[in-house]
Amino acid sequence: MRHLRTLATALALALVSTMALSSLASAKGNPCNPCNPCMMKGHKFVISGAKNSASFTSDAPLERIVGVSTELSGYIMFNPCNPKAGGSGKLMIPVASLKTGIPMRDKHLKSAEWLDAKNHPNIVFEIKKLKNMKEVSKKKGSMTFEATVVGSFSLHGKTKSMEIPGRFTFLKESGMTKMQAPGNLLVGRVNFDVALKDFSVPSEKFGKIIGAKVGESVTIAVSFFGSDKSGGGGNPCNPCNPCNPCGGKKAMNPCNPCNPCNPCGG
Amino acid sequence: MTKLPKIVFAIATILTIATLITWQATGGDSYTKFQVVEQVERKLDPDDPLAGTGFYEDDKVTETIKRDEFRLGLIPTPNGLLDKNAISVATIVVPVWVFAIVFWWFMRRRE
Repeated sequence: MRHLRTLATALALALVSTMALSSLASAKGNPCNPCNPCMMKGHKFVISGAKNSASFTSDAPLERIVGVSTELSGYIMFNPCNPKAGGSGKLMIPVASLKTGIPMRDKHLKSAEWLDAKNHPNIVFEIKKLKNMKEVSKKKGSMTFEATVVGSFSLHGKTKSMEIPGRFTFLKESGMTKMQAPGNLLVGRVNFDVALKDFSVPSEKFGKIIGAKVGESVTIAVSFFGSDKSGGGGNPCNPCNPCNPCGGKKAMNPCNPCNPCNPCGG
Repeated sequence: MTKLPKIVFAIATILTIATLITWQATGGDSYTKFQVVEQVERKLDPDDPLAGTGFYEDDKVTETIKRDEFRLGLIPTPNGLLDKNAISVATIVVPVWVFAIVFWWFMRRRE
């Protein structure tokens, strides 16, 4: 009887320690564990393709102008396992890709008097951080957040810091998402107003048009979706990534030079 | 007025009416366009992977679209003389009436 009790205690201890060890091991190996060093900086969601767009609307008493570019590109660093950690990124559109439906107006828009595409070929929004992350909805395979996007907007050679509201949805790869793009998806949209005079648009010669034919400010709407499989090399946890710090022989080696989270630097 | 100027005026009137009808039928826009960029509101597609995720605030989505569509405008928007965007209500109606009036004046002087 005494032997039996000792045996039962030993068995229980072994079971508990095995469970504890296995949970620790799975936490370490789990690429979505927020404590996993390879997830500290998050996934890189690459934005490319015609489904992404940036549009602007100018409302003036004499004319309403709507323009669009479907050449939005960039990336967002975001950790779906730890959304509260925020994110960073860069969004960019070539000025030459803006279309308003009238070729003559597009030509004016790109001219030196307006956006000066020759000297300032890109419109850039650099996302420095995502703050005030608020979960709007969480379902199996998706999470939606509202956030304040803190960044700098560059247009016509001028840069201005901005804080704008945005909404983001993370979609885990599924049959439905595969129809859009491979990999996990991060979909986002932001709307904000830009005062043209802050960016010295247009030149003084056309100043009289502002307020009559072109609004003093334009509303910009950006809608994008990024995939962590487009440019898989960017995803530090992609098993196909030759520098994958999470797999292979160099698994979890914090000093692996390929590890983007390498605390040893270099 | 002789018969010939009357015919010219009748043709000018018919052309003007036809142009105005086309202008209205293609959207009654101020400028001639062969491509339209506009904001449209569409109902959310149930097959959209974002439907039900909370990404959209309601069941309608506003998006900016670009599509090839002809709209005869009141004013032309050409980049050159032979540009197709030179066609407009103004560039059709004005020359037709200038021709009709000059023709009538010429005929009256001959009489």
